[in-house]
Amino acid sequence: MDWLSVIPPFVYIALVAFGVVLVTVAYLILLERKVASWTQDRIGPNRVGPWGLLQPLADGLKMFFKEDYRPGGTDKVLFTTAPAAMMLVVIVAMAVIPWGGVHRVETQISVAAGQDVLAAAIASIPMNADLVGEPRVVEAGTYGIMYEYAFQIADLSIGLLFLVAVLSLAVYGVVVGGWASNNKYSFIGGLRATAQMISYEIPLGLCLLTIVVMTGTLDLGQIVEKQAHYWGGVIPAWNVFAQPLAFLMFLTCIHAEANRSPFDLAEAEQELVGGYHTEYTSMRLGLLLLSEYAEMIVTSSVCVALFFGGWHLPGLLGPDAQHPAVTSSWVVVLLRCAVYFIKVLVVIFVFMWVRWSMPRFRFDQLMMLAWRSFIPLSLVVLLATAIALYFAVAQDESFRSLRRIDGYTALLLFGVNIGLLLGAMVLSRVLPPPPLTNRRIGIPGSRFSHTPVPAAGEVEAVVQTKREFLVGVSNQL
Amino acid sequence: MPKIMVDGKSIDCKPGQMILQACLDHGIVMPYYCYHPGLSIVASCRICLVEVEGIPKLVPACQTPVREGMVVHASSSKAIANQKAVMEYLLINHPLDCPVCDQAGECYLQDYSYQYGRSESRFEEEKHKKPKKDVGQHVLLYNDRCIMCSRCVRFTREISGGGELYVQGRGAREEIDIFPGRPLDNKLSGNVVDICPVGALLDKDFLFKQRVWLLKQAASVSPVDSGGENIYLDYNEGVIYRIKPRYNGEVNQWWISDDTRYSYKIVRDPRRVVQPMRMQYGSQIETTYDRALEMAAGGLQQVVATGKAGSLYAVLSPMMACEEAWLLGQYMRRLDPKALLVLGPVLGKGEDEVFCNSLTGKQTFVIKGEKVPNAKGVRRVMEKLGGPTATFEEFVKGDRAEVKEVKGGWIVGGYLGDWVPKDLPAGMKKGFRVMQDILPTVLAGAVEVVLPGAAWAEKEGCWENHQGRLQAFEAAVVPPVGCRREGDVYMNLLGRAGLYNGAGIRKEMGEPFESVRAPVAREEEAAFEFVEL
Amino acid sequence: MKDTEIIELQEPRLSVADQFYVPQMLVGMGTTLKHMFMTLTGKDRVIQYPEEKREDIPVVEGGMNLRTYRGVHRLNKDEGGRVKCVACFMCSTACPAHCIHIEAGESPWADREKYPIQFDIDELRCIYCGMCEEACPVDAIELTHEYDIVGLTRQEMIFDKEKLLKMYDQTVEKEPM
Repeated sequence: MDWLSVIPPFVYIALVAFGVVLVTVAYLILLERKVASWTQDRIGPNRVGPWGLLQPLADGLKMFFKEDYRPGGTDKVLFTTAPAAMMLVVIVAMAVIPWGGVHRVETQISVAAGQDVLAAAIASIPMNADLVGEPRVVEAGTYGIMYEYAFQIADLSIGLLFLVAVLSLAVYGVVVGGWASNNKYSFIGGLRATAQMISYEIPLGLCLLTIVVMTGTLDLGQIVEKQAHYWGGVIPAWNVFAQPLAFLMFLTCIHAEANRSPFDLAEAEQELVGGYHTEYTSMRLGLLLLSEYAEMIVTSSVCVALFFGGWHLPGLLGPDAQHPAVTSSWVVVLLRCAVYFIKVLVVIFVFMWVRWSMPRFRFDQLMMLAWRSFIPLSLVVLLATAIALYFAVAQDESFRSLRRIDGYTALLLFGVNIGLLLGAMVLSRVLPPPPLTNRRIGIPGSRFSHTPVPAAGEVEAVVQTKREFLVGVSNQL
Repeated sequence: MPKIMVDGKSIDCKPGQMILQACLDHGIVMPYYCYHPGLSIVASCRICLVEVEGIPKLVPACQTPVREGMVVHASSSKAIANQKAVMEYLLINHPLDCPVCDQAGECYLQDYSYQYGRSESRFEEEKHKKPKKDVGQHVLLYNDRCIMCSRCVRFTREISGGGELYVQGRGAREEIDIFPGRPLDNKLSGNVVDICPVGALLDKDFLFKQRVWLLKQAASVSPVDSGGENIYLDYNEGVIYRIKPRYNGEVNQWWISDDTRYSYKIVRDPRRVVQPMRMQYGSQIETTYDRALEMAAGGLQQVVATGKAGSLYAVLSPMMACEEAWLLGQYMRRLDPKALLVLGPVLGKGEDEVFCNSLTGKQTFVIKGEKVPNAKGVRRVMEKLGGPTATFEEFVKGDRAEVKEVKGGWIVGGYLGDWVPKDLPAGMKKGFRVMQDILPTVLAGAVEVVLPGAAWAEKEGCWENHQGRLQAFEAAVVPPVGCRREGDVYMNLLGRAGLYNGAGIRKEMGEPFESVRAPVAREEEAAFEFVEL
Repeated sequence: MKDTEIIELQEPRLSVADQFYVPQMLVGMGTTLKHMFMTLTGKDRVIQYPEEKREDIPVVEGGMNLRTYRGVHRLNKDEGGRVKCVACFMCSTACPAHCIHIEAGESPWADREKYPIQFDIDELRCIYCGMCEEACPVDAIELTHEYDIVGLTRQEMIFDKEKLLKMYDQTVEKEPM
């Protein structure tokens, strides 16, 4: 058993987490098909295994045994790299998800006389664990030490930053794959994905910043921990209750980020055949499809961590500080993981539910949503949160020390959010309507136009009219 | 010009004309069965009875001559009552087997039953069933469908003259029959099928083949002899099913000969040449049409290049349309300005077959002895082209200087049977020969290039009959796979754009070809349908 | 097209709820959620085809109306087991899809003139309108209730006379003439 303890915990956490996540990804496809069926009054896959449970296996086998075909004129290296990169990026992003909070371990070490006890303690604990308290003497030469480590693969203090950086790389898979395919549909899909990503990264980042301002940390584990208490003893201190507007925008942005309907313009099958994966077959296509679901898991996990208190479940587990023994139990850690995972699944179900309820956006609507509403609104939310916190912190010492939001501050923030929402709604009625899209453009001489056919010699006038018209259109836009 | 008033409409008639014919000429519809403009009038069917003011009883419109100021009521209640009564009477014993009757769709009885009859029969007794009879080589008689109009009897007496058919029995037992041992086997026998207003006389050849409403018609001209009988080709989905006469008062009137009637069989003949062949090391091998054409053009050019002017000849078949002969002549003259144009063998120098009215002895129909349709027309084209020409006899004899010099040429067949003479002309025995034909012949097995041609029903053009009438005909079906229309081949060889188009070529040929009118389709030809029958 | 024929349509002005989008979205998602519950509780779901068939379900519950259902054709036989068809071409004339091909011939039987030598129906081209059934003067062609016909090639789906007569043998007990 010695060699087993030498392995740092993040290795087996990683093994378990990836195993669970990848199996889940496969089963998410089944779930997606099931959800689709249910909304359409069907039963869904039920031929392979009981309730179709072996369907993902059959799909995977099919993917593997398909002819691995690469059309002519494609970029050999990029064509293969793109799906791999996409999958890789998503898996890397999974490293900072705080699955089970902190696990505390009590153990004993024997230290030879004359040795530095602290150094020996540090040397004996796993790689990324932290020593908690001073080593205490149990008997001569034996010290009892306590160490803790976050139940996540990589406990980064800038976890959120890392996540944002890595997740925005996922679009490279789409863009590079679309470009390498040497197909206009794939290319348009890639282009759309780029434009969409650029647009939605901004409100996404601003919503994240709002939470960061509230919690004062970039460490996802700590963000979760700071939500693990109650407001007024009843309401769990989840950020979603303090920042409903930010949550709504965040949820929308992660839909866009994961290329999910109604933002799946990159693969809009009615317009672009298959979008960026038109030319892909076999397991390369499989990777692209799986990475979509993997990305869904990652973004849902982030959503749960930021807004739904991560592993925190009211009534089930108390905060660590009051019950130190609780955190040292393996059962509790795994229970927390389960709670976290179930929350993630609920968010994923919402993803699917939305997909089978909403029609796809038109591209101009997509852009309008990001640039005309989300970016200004998220900016204002961030600003308002900062101002509100400044006043709240000025009056409340506990906030400064614990960096935890108390009930009054949360109520204030909730009020600010609702106020901003109402303000935005009023403003949208007052402001002039946006320019009409897809309208009939009057071209002189066209049979669909009101503009009469120009007589000979009036051509200059017509050109002038056209120019004025185009200038007018660009001004409106 | 007597004027009469029919149902309030004033019409001009010819003196001595019958009321029915005057009405039909002016587009007034009137039912009739026994009346036929080409036959004598018997007024036996009684459905055309009309009311004439001043005459107490109804009079038969087909038999009553017009008189100045006559007032006719064709749709008065009395006339209509008569029409209904006649229809009911005729249908008493008529079997209700329209679904299996070949006449359905062009049946007078059926049409009038819709227009003048009642929808139900009051006749409760058993219908009189008579057996069907085989009356001749081409004709089948279904006696129970007969309405005793006696058109067929009058036809055999007055047009074909043999009088083979007669009315046997009296009253309810009356029926059409032949004399024992004397079947209806004259060369016009098929016409009785056309004039029968019901499905009593049917063509054995067309029996059960196709329903008439599915057929489309193409106006054409008979290919069997120089008479130039006007015909309709009835076809559906690329297959010709039958030939029907097309009225032309100056040529064939309402009639065609049986040879014409069954001449369509050549179009789907299993012996048709459909494989282009070319000579290689002394034996013919299969090739593609384009390759064969290339070789034909190349071979002829080589003959011209090695020999002197006048070493080429073309045998223009009298089965060719004038336009095709013109195009081929032009092509040969382009290769060799002194090319010899030979009119192909004009088959059948026998006597004309003349049919006379057995009662009056008047000549009624002639089947020409010259068994090719366009000898006159090709001769006219050759004259128009000018240059050296020869008849086939001269070509066979080979004593003229031009005939002796030929080294190679283009031979067109297209005859409905074997046409190659036993003693081949010297010019056709040797040299480079390109052959265009529809049926295999001894000669086709020996020439350098064989190009499968198209039958007359597959192309358009014009023919000149023995009277010197230029008559245009149109295509009904497309040539079988592997064959090409001669006109298209020549257009290709001449390097001209587009497909062969008879009317367009006629325009370049000048008079008299220029003024040949395209044949009129049936819809345009007559404002009302039954007049020309 | 004249200018007067052009109708310019204005987009309808959105209400506050429409403009905010979320309430309307929730309404839509409520509808799908309702369907999910209905399906999961088995109250409302599509017919599970190979196990359940429409002919076994009452008409009021969305079952097949066997009185009017039009499936694959059959050629009826008379008492003597001969094909009833007289090759009158009425069905092929009435057929709007031109899927019936008949070749007629003189019948070998004394009581009938004409019979079909060949009778082909292209079941892929057919639109199952039942016009042939209506047109038939001798009730020889009928549409059965069979619909689950399969074939590996298009050629197999062109039913010839033998196959259509076999169809009669297969269905005559269930659906007498």
